Amino acid sequence: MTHSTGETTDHKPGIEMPKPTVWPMVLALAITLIAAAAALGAWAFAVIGGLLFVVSFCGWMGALLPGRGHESEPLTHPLPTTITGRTGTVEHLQPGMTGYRFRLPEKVHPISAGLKGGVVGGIVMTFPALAWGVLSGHGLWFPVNLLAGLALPSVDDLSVPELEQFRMGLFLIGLVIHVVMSATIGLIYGVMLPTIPGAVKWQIIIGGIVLPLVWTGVSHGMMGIANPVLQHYVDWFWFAISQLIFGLAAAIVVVRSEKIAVMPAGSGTAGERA
Amino acid sequence: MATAEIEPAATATPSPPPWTATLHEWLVTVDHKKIGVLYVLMAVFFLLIGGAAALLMRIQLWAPQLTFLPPITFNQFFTLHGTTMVFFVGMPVLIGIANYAIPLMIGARDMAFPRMNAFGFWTTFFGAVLVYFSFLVPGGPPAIGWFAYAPLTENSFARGPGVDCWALGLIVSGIGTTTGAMNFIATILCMRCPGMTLRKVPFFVWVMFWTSLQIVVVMPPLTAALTMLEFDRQLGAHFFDTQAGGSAYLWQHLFWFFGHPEVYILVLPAFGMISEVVPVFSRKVLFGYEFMAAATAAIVVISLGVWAHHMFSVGMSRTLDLFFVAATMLVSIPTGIKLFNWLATVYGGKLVLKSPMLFALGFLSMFVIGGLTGVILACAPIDFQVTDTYFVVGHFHWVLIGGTLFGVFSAIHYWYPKVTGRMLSERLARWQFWLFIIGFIVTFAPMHIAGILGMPRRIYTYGSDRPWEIWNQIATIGALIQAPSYLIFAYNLVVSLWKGDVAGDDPWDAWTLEWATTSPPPPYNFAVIPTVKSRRPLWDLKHPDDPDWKYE
Repeated sequence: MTHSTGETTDHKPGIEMPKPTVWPMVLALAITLIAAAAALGAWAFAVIGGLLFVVSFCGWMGALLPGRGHESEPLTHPLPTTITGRTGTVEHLQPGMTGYRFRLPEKVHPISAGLKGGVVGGIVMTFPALAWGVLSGHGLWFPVNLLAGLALPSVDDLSVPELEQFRMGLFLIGLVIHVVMSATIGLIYGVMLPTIPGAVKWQIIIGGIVLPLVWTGVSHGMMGIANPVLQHYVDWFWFAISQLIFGLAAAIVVVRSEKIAVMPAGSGTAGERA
Repeated sequence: MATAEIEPAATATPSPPPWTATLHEWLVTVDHKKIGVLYVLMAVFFLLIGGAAALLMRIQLWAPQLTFLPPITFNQFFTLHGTTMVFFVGMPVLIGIANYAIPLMIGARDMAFPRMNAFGFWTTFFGAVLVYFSFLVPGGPPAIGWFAYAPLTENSFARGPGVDCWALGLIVSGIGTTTGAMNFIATILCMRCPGMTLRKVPFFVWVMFWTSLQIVVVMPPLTAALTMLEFDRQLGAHFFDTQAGGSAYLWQHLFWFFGHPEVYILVLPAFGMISEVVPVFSRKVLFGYEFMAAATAAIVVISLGVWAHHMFSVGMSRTLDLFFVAATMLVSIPTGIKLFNWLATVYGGKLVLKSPMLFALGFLSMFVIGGLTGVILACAPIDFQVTDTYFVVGHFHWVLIGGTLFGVFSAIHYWYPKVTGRMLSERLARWQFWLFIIGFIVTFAPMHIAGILGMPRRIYTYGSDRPWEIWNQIATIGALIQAPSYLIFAYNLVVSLWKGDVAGDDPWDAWTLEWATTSPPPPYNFAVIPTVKSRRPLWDLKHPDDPDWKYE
């Protein structure tokens, strides 16, 4: 940072600043009085407010005339403390130093791996879900229509025979929910699994078994609020199977993908030494 | 480098001016710093009033069938509490802090329109006075809620002029808010010092720019709705008079088109304040400035399209429900980006746990909870279950206190030394922080449970057969824990003016331009206008061997 002159010139004793004026306050008061007159039906307020409006407006405009609205502010105030440089106080993190990359891995799976995992998981988990629909006697479209209830409260009002039919609107909404959730969770897997320490098997165990079971448990607790119709009809055994198959498929796809190196740190300031 | 001629400061201490001269000086001021202080003082004053109303309501809800407050008084109090906290505390304090800080942060001598700046403050203040004038009119203050749903605001249901004072007071204060926003936009676009391109403005400045754009877009619909309401009440129109063919639904759309972006107007500046405090007290540069900047713009744009999530239970079409569910879910993404960036800024930093950082960490932890309950409410089926219950009350207090108020306290503790030249008492600040955060959690967490158990909001009492008493009692205890924290804050503000340690120009070893001038700054801010080369010009000066501009 350097300093340069603003409006200040070397020939004037001070800095030109706007002159204090009462007119903005009076104009605000005038407008408020007019508003109060409208609220209360007290028209005397309107008369006073109107007069103040005219006077303050003219006064304000007068301050805009050349040479009227500004004054020279003398430079009598003390100068700020001069900022001095402190060389050698910045430390760059370098490879091999404690804290370099912190706990972030130097190689990660590409974003596409997470997406692929989500897509594959999303495809394979439909098989147990649809199988449950068929085996329970409700048909293929029952689980799809139930899923749409996550976004559409009106699904609550449909009878079981109606939920068993193909309904284009519910199908499209269910499809969007399924694709978005699968892709999102796949992306989370892509980012998260490489950060799990230990062998690859732990990534598969956590991503393929632990997380789906946690997710199923949370769903079991919350589904009554989020999607009451699904809560009412769902079979939690089949629900858990679907989640496990998703998790296993997504985790396997992610951990099998080739890792790519991340741009190393070291360009830019990491922090101050003290 | 050109220099300005500095006259030596007077050595003898002058006698203080008479109080009338001081009063006159503040009434006629057009200095952005004094106007900023006036805004903040106004907000603190109304915070105490609005807080007192809340405390009285909490006492009324302590036990079933209490008659501590009559029903009409309770309704009037919750109307004024909401109106006050949103319009006369939240917005003024944010605009006030921005008014003070932004010209300093961008190396300007004042706002672009100093007189309009003063006009903005006085209209905001007089608008508040007009709303509170309703205490003196027949029928007293309005009892309509801060959202003033039609047709309860029509003459058939609200005969006294209290509603008129409320509506016209908000129109007047809205003029002040809008002029203030236009002033910020002009100032940020036109008054930046040499070298400070829009990509190099401090993050708080960037946030205030977008918030101001949002204000300019959403205030006119509110003003229009309030004007239509006055047409109904004063001139016999029927915009919202459902008995004469008007539409209560129209009011909700118009109000919430303002009302939901208003939440972001209240919380985005707090995001900006936190983005100044967290890096300085983590001794690191703000993580992901560009992503944060883009997320701010995204929040502003997306939040203009989420208003009807307040109206799921009205009975909109399936298409509208879906749209507003999706839009509301979408807005959580840029908000999440910000949160992760703050955490990444803190991560690995050398944390300095002074009071501004304590409140910033309080913000980070509390706001995320308010955000998450917002995502829960964005889901229409859940909203159907808990709409108009205390779950919603708990949620929005968690956002506006957990977000806005923690951010504001952080900012005031951060910039107070610059404003006054004195440090706030760290001991009092810590007492305030711990009482505040504990009281806040104890007050508002039980409201979520009471809401899930079916307790409707806005009821002045409840039957003893309902399972809500214990949750209300815990909430009231929380409010009683919170109350002293506000008093300690006000006490600290006043006492530290005289007894606080001398701050010096740059007590936090910070990096933005306001710390390059004296504390308090002179009327002209900078004797010479600075030239900058990076987002952290003081870092560049302090670390000439490793300036930021090499990397930006």
